Amino acid sequence: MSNTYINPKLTEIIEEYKKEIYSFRLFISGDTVVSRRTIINLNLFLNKHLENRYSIDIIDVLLYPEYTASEDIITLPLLIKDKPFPEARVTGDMSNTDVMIKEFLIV
Amino acid sequence: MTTITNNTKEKVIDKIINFEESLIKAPTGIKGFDEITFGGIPRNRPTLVVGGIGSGKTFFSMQFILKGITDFNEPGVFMTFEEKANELLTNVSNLGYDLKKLMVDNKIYLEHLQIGQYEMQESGKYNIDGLFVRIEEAIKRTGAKRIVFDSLDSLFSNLDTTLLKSEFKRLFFWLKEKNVTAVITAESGFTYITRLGLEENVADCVIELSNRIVNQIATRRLRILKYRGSNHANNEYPFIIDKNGLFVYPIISQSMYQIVSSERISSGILTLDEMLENKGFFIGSSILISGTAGTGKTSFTSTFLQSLSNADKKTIYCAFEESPNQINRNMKSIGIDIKKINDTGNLLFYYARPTIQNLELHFMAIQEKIEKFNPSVVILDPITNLMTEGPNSDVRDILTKFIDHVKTKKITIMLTGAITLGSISWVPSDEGISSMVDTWVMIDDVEIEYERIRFVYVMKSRGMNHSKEVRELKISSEGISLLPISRNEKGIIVGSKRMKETPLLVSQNNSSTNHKI
Repeated sequence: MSNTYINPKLTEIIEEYKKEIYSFRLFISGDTVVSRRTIINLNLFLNKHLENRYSIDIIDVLLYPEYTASEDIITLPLLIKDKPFPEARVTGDMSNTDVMIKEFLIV
Repeated sequence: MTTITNNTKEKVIDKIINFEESLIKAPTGIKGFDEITFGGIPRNRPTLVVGGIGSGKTFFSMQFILKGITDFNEPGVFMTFEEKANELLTNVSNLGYDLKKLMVDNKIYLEHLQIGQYEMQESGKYNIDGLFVRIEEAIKRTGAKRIVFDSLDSLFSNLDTTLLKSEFKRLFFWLKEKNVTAVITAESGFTYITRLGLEENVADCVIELSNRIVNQIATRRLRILKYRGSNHANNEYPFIIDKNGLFVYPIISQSMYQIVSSERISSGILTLDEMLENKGFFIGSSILISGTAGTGKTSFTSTFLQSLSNADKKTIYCAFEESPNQINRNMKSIGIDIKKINDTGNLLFYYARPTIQNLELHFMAIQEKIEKFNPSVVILDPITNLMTEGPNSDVRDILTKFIDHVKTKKITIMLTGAITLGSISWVPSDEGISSMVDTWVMIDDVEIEYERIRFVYVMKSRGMNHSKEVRELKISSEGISLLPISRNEKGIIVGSKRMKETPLLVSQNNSSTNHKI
């Protein structure tokens, strides 16, 4: 298998994508053990795979309950990837990194 | 130390005692439903409404919310996982509620929880705190006392079932603390009552709705499967959904509350009154006019109707065979103008083909008319036509309950039917009907010397010393009269013989002599 079969345009797109800045929003409910564990897990993941290529907002829905309706949130914690397109959602304490690699890094 | 522990013990016991005492019910406001549950669904606890597709789950739960607002001043929250809020609004606006106003006044809050819009992956443990926050917001906004989740199946289809089950347990415990009564709807399943086996975990009360077809006639039915800590009626009850909402037909015999009247009401036929102690029927009794086809049963009811209208009494005439127009035309031949009676406002027709809907639904419709019109007499003509519906034993049961219900309102009920002494022996329901009525007037059709003569007699009339004689029925343009039968040395004088011997014998005067064959 050689690279000659791959459309040079496509490799360009992939290269572009690798440089893309990721933007995330993490929704949690209160300062709890679960919330803290989630933040730590997520930090580890992002620093390992997307170092210096991401921005993240952490939103506590107990303080900003209006987000639950506007973002249609039921389960928490919830991580939403806004950029790059398309939007993707992962729920849980972010302990299963395989799922997150599949969901966020492989397009 | 010991005193402290004793105190805490007492406190715990107190708590338990107080808890046990507090099984309060929240009336749903749904007609008939609160009667079969003896007060409604358990307050501050979850109730599960299960049913198949199109069984009326959403409608039931919407009624619970709307009636809560209008009848009990309890605001409500409607969480829908299926229909969009505005779709729901359209569906409910047919019911005659001004939902927009209720929403502006913060009496009701609709929220559409979109599930499955986003594909969501799971990475580790999670909970449904997001839903909690949304519910809390909605309850804060309206001050809700009632909440509906419609339906849980769509929520569960996307998420881990075992996790959600325990989460919902937590949710309902939380709602209990917030003093909110919850109704959850779910699709019925095969192995469990619901598809998800929810009933094991969450519900204190389970209501099953179904829409079954028997003899090509679909009937909605409701049953209470479980009600923790309360007794309830166990049967299946038919219910209807129409423009007035949902209405359950409670077939609970209320006979012990019947008011027994000793007042009398004339049958409209002088000669028949003569046979009933010269006074007529008891008010609030049930009367059966029976005879084979063409014996003049409708003439009897129409004469009764005429006399009621003359006395300015209201009547509901339920015609199951002839249309009102047809009755009008036919009764002109005996000098009764039904149209004129109708114009006085003393008459209300209920005309329906028996096969349109189930028998119970007919009675529900009649019952609704009774409540609105407030008649003193209800006429069912004929009931035998209704009996083609379903198995006969059913009909008898339903009819008994209906008659019981009507009697509690002190309404006299007159039935006609093709019940003869012969038919009783081979149709069991005929015997049932004839035994449950208070007064039974029988018309017999007998052939004598190539002439069909109609004889009338009172088979039974509870609580009165009725005449045991047999009379001849004469229907002419002047109406109905029952002629006493006289004899001579050749035999009885009836039919055309009477014309020769005594031209049109009038019987009013010689009523004191009871003739016997």
